[in-house]
Amino acid sequence: MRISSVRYYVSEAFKNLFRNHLMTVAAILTVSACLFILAVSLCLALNIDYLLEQMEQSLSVVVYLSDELDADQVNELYKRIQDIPYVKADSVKYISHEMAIERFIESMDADPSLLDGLPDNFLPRSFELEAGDLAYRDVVIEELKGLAFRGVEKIGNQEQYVGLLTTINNGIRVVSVIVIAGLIVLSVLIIVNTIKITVNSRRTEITIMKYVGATDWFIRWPFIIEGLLIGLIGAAVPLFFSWLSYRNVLAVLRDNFISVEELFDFKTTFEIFSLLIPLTLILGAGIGIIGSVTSMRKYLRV
Amino acid sequence: MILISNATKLYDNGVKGIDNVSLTIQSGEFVFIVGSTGSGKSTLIRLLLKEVDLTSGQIKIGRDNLSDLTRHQMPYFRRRIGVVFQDFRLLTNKTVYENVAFAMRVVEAPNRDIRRSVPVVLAQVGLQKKAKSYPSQLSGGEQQRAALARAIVNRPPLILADEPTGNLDPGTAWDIMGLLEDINDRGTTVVVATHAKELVDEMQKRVITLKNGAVIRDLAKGGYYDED
Repeated sequence: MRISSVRYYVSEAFKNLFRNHLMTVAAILTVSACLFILAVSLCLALNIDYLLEQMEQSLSVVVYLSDELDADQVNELYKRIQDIPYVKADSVKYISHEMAIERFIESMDADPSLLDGLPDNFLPRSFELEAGDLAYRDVVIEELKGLAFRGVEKIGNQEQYVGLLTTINNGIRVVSVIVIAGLIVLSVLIIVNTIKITVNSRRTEITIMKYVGATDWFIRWPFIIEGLLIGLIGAAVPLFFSWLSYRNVLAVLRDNFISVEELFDFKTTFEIFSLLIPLTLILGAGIGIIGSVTSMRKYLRV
Repeated sequence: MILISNATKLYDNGVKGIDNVSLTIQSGEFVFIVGSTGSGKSTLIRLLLKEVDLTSGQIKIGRDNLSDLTRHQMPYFRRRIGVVFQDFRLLTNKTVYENVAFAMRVVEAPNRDIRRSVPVVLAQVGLQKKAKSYPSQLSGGEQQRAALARAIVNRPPLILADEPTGNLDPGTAWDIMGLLEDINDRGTTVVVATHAKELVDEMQKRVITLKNGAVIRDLAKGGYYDED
């Protein structure tokens, strides 16, 4: 391909964009609208996913210990548990009798005097630990059961919550994939239709190009560049606005709901947009090019 | 140059375009194809451009057998033919200069060559002063000159003209025919499908007459005869 041809393609693409400025604006707005909805749904989906992940991890496996175990045995068990694959070594926490009681009082908001008559060890000692991922939880629990360490009384697992969270999580993933795929198809269709209107008016032009011996690619290139430009501009606009909105929404949430912030963390603007920027630009470019090229395809057959 | 043997074209709707036509046109010839509307003139031109495909028979132009040409080879085939239409078919959003330069861009000619060749060709058709005009600012004759300049700028060995004077007044028509003759004198084969009786009679070139899709007369130096 010659440099002069490339220059020609680019200048033709720009000329066409300006010549049909109304349809250019319409096409850019269409892409923008679709990609904006996409960006918003992605922000939501990523955060919900992230929140669920945090909840998953906060659900710990609890190993209750019999009072028969002495300090050395407890130590040995601690090491063994840490060695189990998939257990996050630094997540294994020892809860003594005293700590258990403190926690109980705190969680029940109870009067400490209520416990006065009870023995110090009425709540068992335990280990709390986290599996790296929900998926490994069952493996870890099996391993714990397999330890067959005398003195392990019971293994607690918040199964009901785990199952619910997994279901919600998978559901949200499926829904967001469907919504996003639908949006992409929709925007391609709208773009094809918008561009078709101008291609129709350029039909004679394409026919003449064919008569003087233009190759299909020679005819196609200006359209591809045109579609690319529409797609990229159509992606930049919603990126800017969603970035602005995301930042502000996060700020508002932080200012007004401090407790939310303590319980859960949101994805930072950087985390979201380091994914969203390349994704949206690639999608925009793809939608623009596919839309532009499909709408002119049938006129190439002369 | 052109070899047509037993060529028949049946359109999908059953209309017969041409019927068992066999013709040879030598390199450097100037040939008129005449006949009334529906006689098959346009079909013949469209077949030569491979705008439509033959139903049976064979057409060869130079070394190309038209039915063997792939879609990929088509642009390169068309670059060896200059085409002129009754309705000019200029790009309305480009100036005369750009319209002619466009044909060279398509074949990816270097800018240097474009800048050199276009003015020469425009001078040849007498349009050097209209280079910056748009087609809508030109008369019919001037538009056809521009189209002619576009057809010859890549120096194709063959020019096909389909009713090139159909939209022009007699005086202008003569100018265009003069230009075609001039192009032919420089060695290019020229095939003109036309209705223009007086021009054909006057020019005394080879005349092939079609009727109902068949060749009914082929004279080396002839005139335009109405069918009996």
